[in-house]
Amino acid sequence: MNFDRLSAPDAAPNENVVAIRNLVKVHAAGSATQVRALAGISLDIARGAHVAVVGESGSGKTTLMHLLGALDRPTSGSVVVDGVDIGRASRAELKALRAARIGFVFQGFNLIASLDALENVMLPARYARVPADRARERARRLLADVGLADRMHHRPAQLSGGQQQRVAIARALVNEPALVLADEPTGELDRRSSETVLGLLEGIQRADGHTLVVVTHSEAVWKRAQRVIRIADGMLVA
Amino acid sequence: MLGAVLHNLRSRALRTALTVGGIAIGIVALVVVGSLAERLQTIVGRSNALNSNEIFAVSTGFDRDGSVTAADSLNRAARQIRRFGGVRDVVAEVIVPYGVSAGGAGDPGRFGPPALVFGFPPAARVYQTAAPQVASGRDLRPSDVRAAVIGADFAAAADAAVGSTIAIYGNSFHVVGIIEKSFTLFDAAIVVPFAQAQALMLQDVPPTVPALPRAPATALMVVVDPHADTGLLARRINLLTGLQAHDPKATAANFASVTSIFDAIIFGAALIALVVGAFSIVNTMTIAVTERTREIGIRKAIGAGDGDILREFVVEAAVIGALGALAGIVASALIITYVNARNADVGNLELFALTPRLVGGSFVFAVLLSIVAGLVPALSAARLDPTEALRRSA
Repeated sequence: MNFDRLSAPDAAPNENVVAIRNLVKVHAAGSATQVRALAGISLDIARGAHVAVVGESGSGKTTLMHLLGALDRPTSGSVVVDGVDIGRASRAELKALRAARIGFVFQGFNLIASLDALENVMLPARYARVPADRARERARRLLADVGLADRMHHRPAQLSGGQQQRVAIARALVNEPALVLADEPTGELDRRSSETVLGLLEGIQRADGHTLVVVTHSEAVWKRAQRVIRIADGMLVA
Repeated sequence: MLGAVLHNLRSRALRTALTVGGIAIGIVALVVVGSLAERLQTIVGRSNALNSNEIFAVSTGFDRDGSVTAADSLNRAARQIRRFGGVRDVVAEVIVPYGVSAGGAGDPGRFGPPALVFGFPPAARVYQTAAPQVASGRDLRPSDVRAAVIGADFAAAADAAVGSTIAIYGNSFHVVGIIEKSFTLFDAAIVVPFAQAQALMLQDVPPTVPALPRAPATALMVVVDPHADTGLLARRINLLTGLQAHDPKATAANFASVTSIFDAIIFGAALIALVVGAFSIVNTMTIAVTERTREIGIRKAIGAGDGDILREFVVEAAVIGALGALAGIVASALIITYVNARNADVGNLELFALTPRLVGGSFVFAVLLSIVAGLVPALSAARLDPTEALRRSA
C-alpha cells in the first residue's frame, strides 16, 4: 500500500468514511478479567462530517477511537475505515492506514519531546515514506496555518499547552488524512486555548473536508459538532 | 533522527554518561592491550621477514678469549654447506657483543635487545633486502674506515648522532648513519666495515694462540631457495661441528603460536570488560523503553511500524556505543602516548602500537556490540501493542 494511492483514494465525495457493523470488543477475552468494552455497535460516519462521541469514563469511547484509529482489531463485527476492513487488514496495511489516512490528536498533546515542532509535524509523513522535502514543505505550511510559523524549531517543553496542541493538530493533518480523530483535544487547555484549538479543528474540517471525530466529555465541545454519538456501557444511546 | 537521539541522551545525562563510561572502559582495555599485541606482531612480523629465506648459523665455539680455531672450522663448514641442495649462498659474518654493562652508555635498556657489533661482507648486502634502511646520514661504503652505522635505540642510549664518535673496545668509530627504528636486532646494532669487525674480533686474542684464522667470522648467513626445506637444512647444518642453526620457519611458527595465545588471553580479558559495558546498554535501553512506553504508543498511532520503532532504539544504542568508543579511543591514545613516552625515557622501547586498524576495528566492534545489546530492548519496544502502550501510561 503506497502513500500516493492512500492520499488519493478513488472514493466518491459522499461515501461513508467509517462503516461499523455489530462491533464487539472484549478486552482480555477469555480471562477472568475480561471486559466487554463495546457490545454490538453499528454506525456510519459520512466523509467530511464533524462528529462528537460522548460518554462517561469506561463507556467504551476510547476503545471505539482505538478501533477507528486502526490501533486495535474488533473481537467480532466489522470496522471499515476509508475502505480498509480493520479486522481483516494485514499489520502492514493497518500501519499504512494509520500513517497516511488517519490523523490523531490526543489529550495531553503527546508530542515527541526530543523533536522540535517541525520534526513532530513531519513525523507521520516520515512514517508514510513521504519524501523529506515534500514533508518539510507541508509541515511548514501547516505550522504557519496554525499560527506557529515562528515556533517551528521550538521543542515541546518550550511551547505553551495551546501551542503544543496546535502542533499536534498540524501533525494530524500532515498526510491529508481522510479521518481526524481527536481524543479530548481541549482536556488540558484553558478556555481561550480551547477556543483556538476547536476553531482550528472546525476550520480544517469545513475548509478541507476532513472527517473530524472528537471524543469528549465536554459539553462545550460536543455542542459544536454536526452529529453527536452517545455511548453508554459499550452501546449506542439513542 | 540523530538530533532527536542526542536530545534523548542529553535529557538523561547522568545515565547516558555512566553507560558511555562503561563502554569507554571496555574500549580502553581493548585498545591498550590490542596496542600491545599490535606491537608484538610488528616485532615478530619484521623479524620473520628479515629471516624468511635465511638460516642463521652461529659458531658455538667462538668467544673473544681466544678460541679462534672455531673461526677456521666455521670456514670449513661454510664450504660444506655451499654444497647442500637448496642453498644459494653462504656468507660469513662477524657479530660480537658491544660489551657495555647494563645501563651504561650505549646500553639500549633492559627491555631491548643487547647491543651487538656487526660486520657484513659486501656479498651479504645483496641478500639483506628486508633489512631496515638508514634513516639519517648514509650507509657504509666499501672505502669506509673506522666508520659505523648505528641502530636508533643504540643512538638514543649512547646519545650519538651522525657525526658523533663512539668507542668500541677502545677504538674510535665515526658515526655516518642512523638506522630506522624497526623493532629488530638492528635497533641496537653497530654496523662497521667487515674488515674492522674482524679486527675487533681478533683484537684480544692472546699471544699463546699459534696461528690466526685466515678469514675470521662468527656466524654464517645461509641463503636458501624460496621453497627449500629450511628445517632439513637447519638439521644438516647442526650436524656440522661448532655450528648452531635454527629453522626460520619453525622459529616463525613458534612466535606465531606464542603470540596467538598471548593475543587470545589479552583480547579475552578486554572483551569481558567490553561485554560488561554492553550489559549496561541493555539496562539503559530497557529503562528507556519503559520510560517511553507512551511515546512508542503515540509513534505507532501516527503511523510508525515495528521496524521504525526498532530502528529508533537501535540507533540510540549504536550512538551510545559510538560515543563510548570515541571516549575510550581518546583515553587509550592518551594512556598509550604517556606510557610510550615514559618507556622511551627508561628503556627505549615503545611498548604499544596504536594502529589505524586497531582504532577502526575497536570502534566498529563497540558499535556492533551496542547494536546487539540494544536489540533486545528495541525488539520489546517494537512489539508493544499501541493501545496497551497508550493505556498503560495514560
